[in-house]
Amino acid sequence: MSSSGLPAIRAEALSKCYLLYDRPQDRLKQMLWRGRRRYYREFWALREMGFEVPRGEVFGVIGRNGAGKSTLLQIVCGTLAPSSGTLAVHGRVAALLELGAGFNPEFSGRENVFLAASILGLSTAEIEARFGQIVDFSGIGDFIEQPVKTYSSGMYVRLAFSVATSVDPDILVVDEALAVGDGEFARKSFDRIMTMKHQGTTILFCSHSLYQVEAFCDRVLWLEQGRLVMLGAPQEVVRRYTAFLLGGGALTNEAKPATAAASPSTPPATTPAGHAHFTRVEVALDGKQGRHLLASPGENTLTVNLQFESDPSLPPPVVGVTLDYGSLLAVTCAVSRTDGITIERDALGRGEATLTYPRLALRKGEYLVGVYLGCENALHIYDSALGVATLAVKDSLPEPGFVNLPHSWRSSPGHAPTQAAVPATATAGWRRVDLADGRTLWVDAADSLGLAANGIFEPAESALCVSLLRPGDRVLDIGANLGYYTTLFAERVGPTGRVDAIEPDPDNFGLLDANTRELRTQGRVRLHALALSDRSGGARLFHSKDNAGMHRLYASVCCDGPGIEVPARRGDELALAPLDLLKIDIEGFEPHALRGLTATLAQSPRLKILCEYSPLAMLEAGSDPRLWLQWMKAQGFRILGFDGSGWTEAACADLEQQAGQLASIDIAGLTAPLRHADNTAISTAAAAAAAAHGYTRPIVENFLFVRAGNLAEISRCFSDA
Amino acid sequence: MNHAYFLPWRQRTLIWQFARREVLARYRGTLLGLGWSFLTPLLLLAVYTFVFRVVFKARWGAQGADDFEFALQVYAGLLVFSLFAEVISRAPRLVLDQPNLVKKVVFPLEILPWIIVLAGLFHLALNLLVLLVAAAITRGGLPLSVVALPLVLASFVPLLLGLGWFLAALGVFIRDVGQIASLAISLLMFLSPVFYPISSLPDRWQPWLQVNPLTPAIEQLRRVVLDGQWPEWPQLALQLVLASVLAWAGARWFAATRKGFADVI
Repeated sequence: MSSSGLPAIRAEALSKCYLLYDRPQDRLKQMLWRGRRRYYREFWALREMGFEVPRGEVFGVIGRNGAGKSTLLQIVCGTLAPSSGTLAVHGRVAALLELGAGFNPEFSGRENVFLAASILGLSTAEIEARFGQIVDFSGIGDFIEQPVKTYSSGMYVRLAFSVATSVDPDILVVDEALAVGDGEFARKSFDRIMTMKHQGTTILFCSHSLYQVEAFCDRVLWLEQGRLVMLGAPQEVVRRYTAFLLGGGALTNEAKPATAAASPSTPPATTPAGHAHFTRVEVALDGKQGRHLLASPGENTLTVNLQFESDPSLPPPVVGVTLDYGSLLAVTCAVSRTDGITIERDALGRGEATLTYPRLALRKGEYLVGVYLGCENALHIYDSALGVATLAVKDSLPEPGFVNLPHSWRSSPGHAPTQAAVPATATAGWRRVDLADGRTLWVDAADSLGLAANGIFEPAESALCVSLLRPGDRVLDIGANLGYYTTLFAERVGPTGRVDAIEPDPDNFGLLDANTRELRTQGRVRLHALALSDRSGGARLFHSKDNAGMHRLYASVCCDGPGIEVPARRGDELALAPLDLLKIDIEGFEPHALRGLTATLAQSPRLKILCEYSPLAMLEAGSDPRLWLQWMKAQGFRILGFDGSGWTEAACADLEQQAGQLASIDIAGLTAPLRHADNTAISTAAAAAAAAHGYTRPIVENFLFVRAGNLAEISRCFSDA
Repeated sequence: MNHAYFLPWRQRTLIWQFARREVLARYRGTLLGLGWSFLTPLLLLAVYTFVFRVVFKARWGAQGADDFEFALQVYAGLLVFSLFAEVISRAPRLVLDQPNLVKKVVFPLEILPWIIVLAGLFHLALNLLVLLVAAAITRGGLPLSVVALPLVLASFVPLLLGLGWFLAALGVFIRDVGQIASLAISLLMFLSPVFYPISSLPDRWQPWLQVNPLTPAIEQLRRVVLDGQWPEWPQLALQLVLASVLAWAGARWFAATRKGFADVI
C-alpha cells in the first residue's frame, strides 16, 4: 500500500521527555505560559534516538526495565507523541501491546470487532469481508453476539488478537510475547505471527527473552537509559548485552551511550522481582548447534541447553522441554520437577540446565522444540518459547508412527504355553545377587556364571570392557545370557550410549529382561529375543544339559536334546552401525553370527570385538577356526590376547598355526563316545583330543579384535586402566 | 487540521459506529427502547404546560393562544435546548472518560464531539417528528417554510461542535468544567426563550438575550415551523458565520492541547 522505497520506520533524533505534573491544570498552565514558567519535573525516557527499519525486517529492542523500550514502541504505535525529533512510520501499524483496550464491555463481540477494526482504519466493507475469518480464528463461536463483558479473559484476548492481526498490517508491534492466550490458541497466535514474518511484515519486537530476540530478529537495538547503546546483528548485540548484565549493569568503554548519562545509574537489577526468564537456549544434535536440525531415527543425541536468570529470592524454577509434532500435538515433554531434578542457581539467581535425549527415537516428521521456565510448582510459567528449533527426522522406513518405543519380540510356532511369554516377574528359584562392582543381578537357581559364589565373572574381560568403553558408545552384546555384560556396558556408556543385547533362550531372556528393566525404560538398553546367524529365518537352539550359558545353535555332544525353534536373523538387518564394542560369546557359532554382521563391521571404524574363541566348538558348529581367523584379518582386525597381565598381539602370535593343528581332528569320531557324559568329562576329553593333535592353547579363551588404526588408542586405554 | 475536524470523511465508519452505539447504549436493555426518546419530551411537555398554563396562567406572547399553542411553542424551544444541553453536559468528560482511547490505541479523538452531536441530532429528529405531527394535527397542515428547517439546524451544528471541542479539551485539564457546565445548563434553561417568546421581554433586555446563542436558534426554528415564515436570512447567515468561527476556535484549542492529554489522564 505504500511506496516501496521508504523504510518502514525511520527515527531521527527522537526524544521523549515525560513531564510530570502534580495537578492536571498545571499542564494547561504550562501550555498557556509557553515555557516562560515551569510547572513540571522532567523524565527523559528517550534521548536522541536515530535508526531506520527497512521494510520486512524483524527489529528487536532489548534493554533493562525503564530503558525506554515501551516508550519507543508507543511512539511507533502513535499513542505517544515524541517531545522532539521525528519518527516517520510508513504503513498500517497493528500493535499487540494492550489487546482489547479499545473494547467496550457493554457491546457485543460483533460490534467490538467493527469498532476495533475501524480504529485500525478499515472501512465497513473491508471489515465485513474479514469478519467471518476473524471470528473463526478467535474461536469465539456463537458468543460473538454476546456482550464482551460476559467473555472470559482468554476469549477477550483471543478476539482482540484476531482483530489486530486481521487488518494486514505493514508493521506489527509485539511486546514481550510471541504468542497470546493459552493452550491451542497460543500456538495458533504464534503461527500467525510467524506467517506474518514470512509474508514480509515489518515486526518490531521488544522482549526480555534474549534467546527469542536472537532467534527471531534480523537486527537488534539495545537501549540503556533512553539512549541507543548498540544496533546490529542479534548475536553480537545480545552477547554484549549479556556481558553488560553480568558485569552488574555498568557500561564498559566499548559499549557506552553516545553521551554520558546525566541521571544516576539504576541498580543492576537484571531480573524484576518475582520473575525469571531465559537468557539463552541452545538446541544441538550430536553437539552441533542449530535452529534447523536434521536427524535420523535412533541415531542422534538431542541436547537442549537452557540458561536463565531469576529473582534469587524465589524458589528454584522448574524447566521443561516439549517436542511438538506439527502445531498441536506434544509428542513428549520433559519437566525437571517431574524427573526429580532441582535446578541449581548461583547467588544472583542464574542457572543452567541441559536436557539430553540419547538416540532420539522420533520417527519421520517435523518436530518443534519448545522450552518453558516455570515456578517451583510448574504451574505459573515465567517464560516460554515455542519453536526454539525445528527437528526434521528423515526416516527410510515406510511404517507409520511418531516414535520407536523400546520393544522386543518373541515368536514361536504353535501356542506352546511354556514358550509363550517372557516372565514379567521373578520366577521360582530366582534370587538377587550383589556383585563386587556394586551391581545387583537376578540369577536362577543354577547360577551358571557363578555370580553368587564369586561376585564377579571373567574379571580380566570385565576390566577390559570398562577401560574400553566411554559414555555415549554403542555396544552389541551377542549371547547376553542373563545380562552380566549388558548391564556392565550400559552403566559404562551412560544415558547417551546404547546397548543392544541378543539372547535367544527364553529362560535366559527372562533373567535378562528382569536385569535390564530399568535401563530399558531409560532407553539405554534394547533387547532382542533372537539368534544372530549368517542367514535369516528359524534356527534351533539346543539346550545344554547343565549350563544355561552353553546352549548352542547346533546339535552338539553337550547339547543333544530336541531343542526349541528360535528366530534367527542376519545382524546387519538390525542396522546397528556404527558400533564401538561388540561382545560375542555363543559357543562356537561366532563365525556364523559375525558373517551376518559383515556390513555392520565395515561401517564401524572404531569397533572392538571381545570374542570367545573355542576352536573345537567352532569345528563342531561347522566352521574352520583357521579360515575364520583369516576372515577376521581380512575384515581389518588385529587380534589381542590376555597374557596374564595385559592384552597384547604377542599373546596371539601362534594362533593361526595352532588352529591349523586341529584341521585333521575327527570331531564326529571324538564326540560320539562322549554323548552321555557330563560337561566336565566332555571338556576334559576335548582338551585331551586337542593336545593329541599338537594344540597347546586353552580350548576356551577370549580375544580382543581391534582395527590396526585403533591399536594406539587401545594401548592408551590399558595404561589408563 | 481543519479537514480532519470539519469534514472527517475518513473516519465516517468510526463515527457511524460510535454514534450508533451511543444511541443504542442509552436504551439498551430497557423495555421501551427508543420509545423513551418520544416519551420523555412528551411528559416534560405535559408537565411544563400544566405548570405554566394552569398554575401560573402564563400566556404565549401578546396573542392569546390556546393550550396547544403554548405546548407547541415550548416544545419547539425544548427541542433545541435539549440538544444543546446534551452536548454541553457530555463534552467535559468526553475525553476524560476514555483513557484507553487516549493512551492505549491510536484514536482520532477529534471525532468524539461529532459522535455526541450526531447522536443528539438523532434524538432531535425524533422530537421534531413529534412536533411536526402535533403541529399538523392541531393546525390542519404544515407551512411551506418547514423546508428551511435543515438550514436552521445546519447553522446550529458548528456551534455545538466548537463548544464540544473546547469543553472536551478543557475538561481534561480542569476537572471543574463539568460542574460549571451543568450549572450553566440549568441557568440557560430559563435565560433562553424556551418558556416565553423573546418578544415578551422588555425591549432593553432583548439584545442581551440575543447574546445567548440558543436564542436565535430557537426563534428561527419557531419561525419556520410554527409561524410559517421564512428565516431571517441575514441573521441566519450571521449565525452560521459566528458558529463556524467558534467551531474553528474550538478545534484550534483542541488540536493545541491534545498533546497534553496523555500526560494527565
